[in-house]
Amino acid sequence: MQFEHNNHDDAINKTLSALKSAAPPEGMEARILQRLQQSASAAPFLWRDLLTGSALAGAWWRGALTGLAAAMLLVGILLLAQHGLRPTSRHDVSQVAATRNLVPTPVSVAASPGCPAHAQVHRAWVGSTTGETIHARVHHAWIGPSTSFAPSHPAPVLPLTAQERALVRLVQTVNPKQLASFNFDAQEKAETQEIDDFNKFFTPPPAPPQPADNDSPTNTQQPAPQQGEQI
Amino acid sequence: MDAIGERSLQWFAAERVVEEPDLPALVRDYSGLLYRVALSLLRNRAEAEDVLQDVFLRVLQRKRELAAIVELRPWLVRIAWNLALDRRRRIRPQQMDDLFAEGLLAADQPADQALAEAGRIRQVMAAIERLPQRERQALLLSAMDELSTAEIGIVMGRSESSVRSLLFRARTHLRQRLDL
Repeated sequence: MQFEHNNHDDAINKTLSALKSAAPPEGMEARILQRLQQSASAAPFLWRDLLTGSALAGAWWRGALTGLAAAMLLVGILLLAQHGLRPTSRHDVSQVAATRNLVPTPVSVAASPGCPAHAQVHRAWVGSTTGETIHARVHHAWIGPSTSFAPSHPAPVLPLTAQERALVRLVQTVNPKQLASFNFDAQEKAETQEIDDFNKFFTPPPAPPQPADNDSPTNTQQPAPQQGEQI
Repeated sequence: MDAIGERSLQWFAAERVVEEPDLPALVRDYSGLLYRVALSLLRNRAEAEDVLQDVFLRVLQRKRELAAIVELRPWLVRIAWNLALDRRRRIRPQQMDDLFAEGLLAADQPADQALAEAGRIRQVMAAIERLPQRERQALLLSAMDELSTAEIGIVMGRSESSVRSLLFRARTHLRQRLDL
């Protein structure tokens, strides 16, 4: 058994050592290099290769592209600086807001540093509900960097309408349970019913019929007192 | 502007030195090892050479990433192994060289002895073929002198102890199969 195992191990080791010592065919390296050169020459054109290539034409391109990029960057910076320093003569502000009940309201602009005195807002439409567009046109407003970066102020709170005031009063006086079951029709019906009941209660009883004969014993009986009279 | 252009050229040239690999040196250093790796799996010299060409074509395609690769040899061996596996699926077992075993033997052996040994090698190779894939890979890669157990582990994505365990099991299974 041991002999057989040794034989197997020998065979395995011989096979593995034969694999280990297998020599590559002659000229294999040259063939591989030739194939690599063919592949490199037939490689697709890549912009990155153009930028990082070693050819003289590539170097020319790299210099030209770098110079062009630097010039564009410089021009861009100059334009940006000029644009930032120039005052805006006219500025239209278009604003879409949720509004239904439009109320013409003069909008006051808070005075901010850098905003000249002649800057004024002529008119603005301000509303509180949805669905319509409002346009606020601001003429001759100086929109400088300081104004652009200034914190925005919310619009002033509008006064309540009569209906809104009534609603607020109702909410403050009525308890929540009543408020939850509040219904104008039901309330009106209940009030009508109450008035009817009241009137019905205090209606005087019908007049007793006049007796034809005063001696009749049946006429001596008095009508039963009404409940209301007892009270 | 000229100064900027000159500096950019210098920068690109410096980057190129870092990125560009020396492909002829790579071929010279690693072709023998990679050829044997492919041959051990394919048992066909022409196919193994084709695989080797494919390996270096892959390297050429990824030459910019070579600088970032720390373990170059295991990386190349893994590429060669995977490409050989891929090619092996496409070729029939009959295409594997019948004279492969004879070609592995030394030329100065007597004919009868060489014939017997070739038969024995063919038998062992057939048994290796029937091993589980991981055990077979560990065994065949261990035959390469250039690869340490740690490097085989990197190629297979396993720890060193796991590779040793696989080698032990591969040899045990191989002995069992040769007993039958």
